[in-house]
Amino acid sequence: MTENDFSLEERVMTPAEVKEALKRYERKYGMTSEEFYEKWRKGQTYHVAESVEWVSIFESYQAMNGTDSRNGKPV
Amino acid sequence: MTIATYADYKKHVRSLIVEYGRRGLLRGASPIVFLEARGIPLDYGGLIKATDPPLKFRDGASLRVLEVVQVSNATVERLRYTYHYERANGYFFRYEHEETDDVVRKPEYHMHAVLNLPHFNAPPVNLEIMLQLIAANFYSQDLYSKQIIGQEIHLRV
Repeated sequence: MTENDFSLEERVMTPAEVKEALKRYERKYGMTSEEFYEKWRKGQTYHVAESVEWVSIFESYQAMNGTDSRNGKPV
Repeated sequence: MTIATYADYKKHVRSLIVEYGRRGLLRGASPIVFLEARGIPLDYGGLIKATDPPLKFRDGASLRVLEVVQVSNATVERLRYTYHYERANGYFFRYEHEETDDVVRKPEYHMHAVLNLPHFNAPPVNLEIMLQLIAANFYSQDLYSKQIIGQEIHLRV
């Protein structure tokens, strides 16, 4: 494939990739996903350009692990 | 195409991206990743994203895409989305839909242009509208596009 060729790849994100994605956000913005999530719920994450991505992936991570930060308890 | 199920919706997203690839706007390997979304049964919806890497355009621009979608009774609900288009030189705009408690500072449907703040109220959009908007403004050969490409901005808020 040359640089200008186009191809589409599809796959399901693995649990390890989800964790790695969260770690990338955590390193970039200097807070844990849990801290970010609490701030997002309080409207304090306006500086985070990827907030919709981060919060959505974090919620998926919680769903995969059977926890839910809406009440802070295992579902 | 008729979208009756989440599987149909995923096909729709796939065909949209392939269409713009075939038209020569996109280049390289574009990955779409699927993930379950909290509170949505797997057959009815989920998270769809193209962010790592984003979709890449022929001129070095990129489009980050993430949607949390639910399809039921042949109705598509985009519960959240972010579409972030960025030129190679850093100019960007981003349409988003997310929950909010402050409808003035952060309307539920909003957009950002050049800066992450403010959140400008915006109409709901989808991937098809975003790709049309990007193609018409940045990849047409007409005078309108030529008046956009190459513009410089030097400003302080």
